[in-house]
Amino acid sequence: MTAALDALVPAMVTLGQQRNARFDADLFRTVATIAGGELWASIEGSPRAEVVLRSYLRLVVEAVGIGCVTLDPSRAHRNLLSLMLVERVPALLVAVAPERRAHTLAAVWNLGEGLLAEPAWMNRYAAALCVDLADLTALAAHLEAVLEPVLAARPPSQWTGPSTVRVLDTRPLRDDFLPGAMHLAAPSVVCLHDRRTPRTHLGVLLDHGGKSALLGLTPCMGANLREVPAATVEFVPNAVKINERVVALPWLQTPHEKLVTATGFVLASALDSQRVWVIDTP
Amino acid sequence: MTQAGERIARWMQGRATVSADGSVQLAERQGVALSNKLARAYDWIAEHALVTPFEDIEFGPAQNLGRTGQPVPVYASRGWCSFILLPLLTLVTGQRLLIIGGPGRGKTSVATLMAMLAGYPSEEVRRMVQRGHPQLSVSDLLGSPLPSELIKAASTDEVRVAWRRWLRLRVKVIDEYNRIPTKTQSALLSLMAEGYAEMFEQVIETGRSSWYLTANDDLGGGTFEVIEALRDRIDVVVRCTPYSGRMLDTLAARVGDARAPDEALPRDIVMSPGELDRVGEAVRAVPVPADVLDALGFFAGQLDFCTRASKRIEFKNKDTLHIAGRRVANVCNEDCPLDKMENVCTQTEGGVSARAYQSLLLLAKALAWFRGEAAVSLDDVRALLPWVLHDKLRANAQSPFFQKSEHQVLLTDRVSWVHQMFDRAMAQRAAYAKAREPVERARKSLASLDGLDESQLARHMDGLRAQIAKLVDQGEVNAPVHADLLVLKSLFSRCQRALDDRRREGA
Repeated sequence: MTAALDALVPAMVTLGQQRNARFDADLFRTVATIAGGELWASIEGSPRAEVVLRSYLRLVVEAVGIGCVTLDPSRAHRNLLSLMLVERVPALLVAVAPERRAHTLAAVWNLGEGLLAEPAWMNRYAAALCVDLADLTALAAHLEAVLEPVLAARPPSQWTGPSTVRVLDTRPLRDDFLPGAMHLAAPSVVCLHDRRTPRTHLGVLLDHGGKSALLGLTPCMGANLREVPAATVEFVPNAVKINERVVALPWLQTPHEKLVTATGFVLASALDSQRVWVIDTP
Repeated sequence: MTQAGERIARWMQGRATVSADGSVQLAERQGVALSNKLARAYDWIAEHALVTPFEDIEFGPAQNLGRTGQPVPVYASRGWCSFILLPLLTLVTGQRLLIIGGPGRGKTSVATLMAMLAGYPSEEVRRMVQRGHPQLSVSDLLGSPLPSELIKAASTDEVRVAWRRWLRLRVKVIDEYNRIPTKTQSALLSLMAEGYAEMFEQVIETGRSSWYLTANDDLGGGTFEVIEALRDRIDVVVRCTPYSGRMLDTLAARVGDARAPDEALPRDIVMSPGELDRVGEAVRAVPVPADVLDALGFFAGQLDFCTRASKRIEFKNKDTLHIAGRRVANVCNEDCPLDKMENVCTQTEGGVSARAYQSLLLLAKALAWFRGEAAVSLDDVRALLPWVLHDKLRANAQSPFFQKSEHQVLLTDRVSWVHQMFDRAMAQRAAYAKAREPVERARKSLASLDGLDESQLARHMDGLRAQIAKLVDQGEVNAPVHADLLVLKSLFSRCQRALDDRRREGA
């Protein structure tokens, strides 16, 4: 550790132990050394760098104390706050003007902690979509942009068609991902489980107009909405019949898992494929 | 504003702000679920303060491991250590807990930790502990009149009393209560039982309190014998966990740190008075299903019943024996026709007061709330029974049940003894379920006698007569049959009164 961290970490450990019963001192030291070290290396020498480092460590103390920091090599953070404190802040804070760094840290904390009070799927969805965030000061605007499509109420589908089919390939996100069980975490968000590797999941955003997309690796989004679609859906070889209307499904002989939503989406996975078929019928 | 925009604007009003010196400040966290807070407190005490691997409050079906005569059960759900859990439940229910165990086993430490969880600083906690000793006077315990007032006052009601500060605190710790002289015990009894103390016609109310008493001796031996009424006011008893080799590492670390564990109590597990009140309300709101009450009533009837105490159905209980100066051991012999292996009435010298069952129900509600259950279950009741009945039940050691070599260990292990009695009673309840159905039906159908005319009442009474006669004739009158007979007789009596009323109205 650097001298600055050496001076701060023991006091922060004591503070954490005084404040939070479940404070994990070892986890804090790890985050402080790796992520704090990265941050310090980037801001050392700039105005008020020590104050910023102390503020950052103070937030990490609190986050570790309330049990929301995870160190997952797959980068599947359970929540936005963990992602921000462990990865994004150390990498991006240097790009923020020195006089705005503390305000940016406070905003990151408030947004991250605000999401902690929301349903788990929302936090995991937000974390999955902020993995590649490039500008910390744009976090609030970015969150608004990604959350609005999934929060806005959508009317139930009339299932009149026409249907469009979009095939999503999971391989670019994880080489060996094999789609298995799927459940609706929110009206527009599906949690897709890996059939072979436990605790490995991908998010799927459902959006009309062929805009459905994979969201990246995420912990299981938890919720399982049960919707009653106003359509009869029957799979036949290489096609699906929606209210007796046939929609061709390229490469899908027999579905392995399937899901039908009230908003007009049919999802299916195949026994031997890394793809997911999304049939959109507004 | 968009839905997402509204949320983000709300989140941005969070507790992180930037202070004048340019550093980020975090305000205290609000709105944390109180059950989580208590669970965190439990975990912190188990991992940092007492460090115990013993979990003697367990739930769910057990899987017995090992093929020898003493298999070890393991449970699917997580377990709890009574020495930590019961003090916490006492804190949130405002009950009275007696902690027993040898010196240096952590009795006072647990009690003072509870006071610190209630928000008292460690210096105040040290002062609030009332240490029992043979010279402890009523004035030492309660306070004394100001000397100047004694001289000036024309009458006793003019004398102002300087009450001891601990009396008004929410957590009260009485160390080694069985070393307190009898007269001072009486003053303590008023405090614990009635919630007030009186001196020179001045009264002090203690308010809602959680009491922690400690004793080195499980039966309250000590320097002075504990008066029965005081002992009866204790809601629940817990004993210190035994020595564990795992403790040594922690003890060594503490010696190195020169710091007591309670000095490092984290702030996020401290509960404010308002939070304790809210938990108390939430606990009391947890429902107790009728089936759980019925099962507990069935068990209680077993403890109280003695068929040989009297020939009259109303007096077939152990109180009848005790009032006559006799004991269960005097009559529970081969002349009693009941099977001593099946009927648990043989195992106890007495029953348990209604107050004890009230304490049990409140603690069971607290346990269900702590476990996140929507209602009290039989598991909650079973888990707590041994601790609530610990000092309230005396075994009838002369019972033929205890003459069996495999049962003798139950005379030393009270927790297993009470569990065994409860399990045996529940098995009997299941066996009697069908036989009890007609009685339950009669009780429900005659819950209200409004609208029944003379002939209908007479028909019901004929039916009750037949049911009573059938119960008496079909076998021995044991506790379950006795309870049913009492119900039927009471229904018959109500019908008789209603019939008399109808006849008077008709005349």
